[in-house]
Amino acid sequence: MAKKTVSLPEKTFVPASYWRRLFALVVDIVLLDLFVYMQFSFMFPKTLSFASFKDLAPDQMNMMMMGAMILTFFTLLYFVYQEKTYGQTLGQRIAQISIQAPKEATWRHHLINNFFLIPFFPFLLLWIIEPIYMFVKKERLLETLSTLRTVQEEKL
Amino acid sequence: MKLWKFLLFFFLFALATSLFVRISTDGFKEGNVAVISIKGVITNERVLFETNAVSDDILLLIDQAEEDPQIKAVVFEIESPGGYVVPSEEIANKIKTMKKPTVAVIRNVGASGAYWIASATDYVIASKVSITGSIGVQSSYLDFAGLMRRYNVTYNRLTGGEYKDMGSPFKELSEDERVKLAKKINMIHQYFANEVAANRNISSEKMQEIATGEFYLGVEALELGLIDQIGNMDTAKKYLEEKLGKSVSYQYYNKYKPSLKELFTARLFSSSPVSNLEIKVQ
Repeated sequence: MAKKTVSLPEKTFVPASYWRRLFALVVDIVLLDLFVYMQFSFMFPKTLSFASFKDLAPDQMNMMMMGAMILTFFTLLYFVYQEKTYGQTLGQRIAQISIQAPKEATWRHHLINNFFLIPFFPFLLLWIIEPIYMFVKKERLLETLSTLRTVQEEKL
Repeated sequence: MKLWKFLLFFFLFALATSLFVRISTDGFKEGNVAVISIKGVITNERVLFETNAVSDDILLLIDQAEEDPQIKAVVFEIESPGGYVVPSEEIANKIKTMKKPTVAVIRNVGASGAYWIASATDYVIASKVSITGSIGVQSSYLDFAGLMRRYNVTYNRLTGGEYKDMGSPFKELSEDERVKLAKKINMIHQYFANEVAANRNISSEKMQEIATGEFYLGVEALELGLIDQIGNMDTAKKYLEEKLGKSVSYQYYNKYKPSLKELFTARLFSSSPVSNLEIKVQ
């Protein structure tokens, strides 16, 4: 009987570690800060404290809100487009993690996966909820809702 | 589209958007009236865990406000019981040299050294029940000589100069020393009262009646000419809008932020209260 050789896969995908995710996020935010956020710094005050926040005039508050919305748009565009098109952002590529999406995943799923980047209530609560959820379930709440997974390669 | 092409397009799109917004709007308009807070005991010593009004920091903020062409006036928001003589005088004298209009808004307390500072401004506003005035000087201290005698603790007096340990809490104050100290305190008090009289255009005879160290509520201070109007920060805003002829928005000048080195080397708490001769306008 002829011998059959079975080739096993050399690597597999496992849930990305917390540190790789954090590193990727930091790299992406630094890039965005250098090339996008700083260009819109004229829309925000040079210094702002909680004491002075309540004393902002309506036109000052409107300018800040408009600035925040523009920055949110660019941030979401950066993350959602890269994750949908390339499976990973530049920061995730450097950290060697990627987004695994089912075939039926649409732009909406990728948008939901990045809701934590929206700096308005109630999305700000995700900064508290996500780490706690991840500590318990080993994946982010938004990943559960969007059916996407952040994974890293692991050699067998 | 390749990744690098996308990133290039993305950043160029952001640049174009920022240029468009810059052309279409004026951007964030910083306030045109600086608000400098004077909160806590007025001192020249920065202590890490205490909220003091450090004169060096306030002088820096005043310079900053004077140099900023966007700032048209300065409001001093005062919440202080007073403090030490020299830092209070330094801030008051600095305010008198300012070219921009100045307003003091006394909140809960603006007494003694803090009132000295307020009096140096062009216009003083306080609430009806703000505590202000207290134009006096004190250098009271605890005398432990009797307690030490009771427990057979001896104070070994070794001085070069007869009055070197004058005011030490470990020995009784002699009559001679009391007279000398009282004279110095009176000199400081007279100087303080004269400064306030000059700042507020009050005659020296009337100031002698007012400057007894008594504190006054806002309504009393208004009658005595120590303040100009009853009100609050909104009142100051309206006053400045009339004076400057334009709308006013506040820009809060932040408190001094210590460097990393200062965080590790700064004094954590203020000096012991049992110290030799602390003269205060508080």
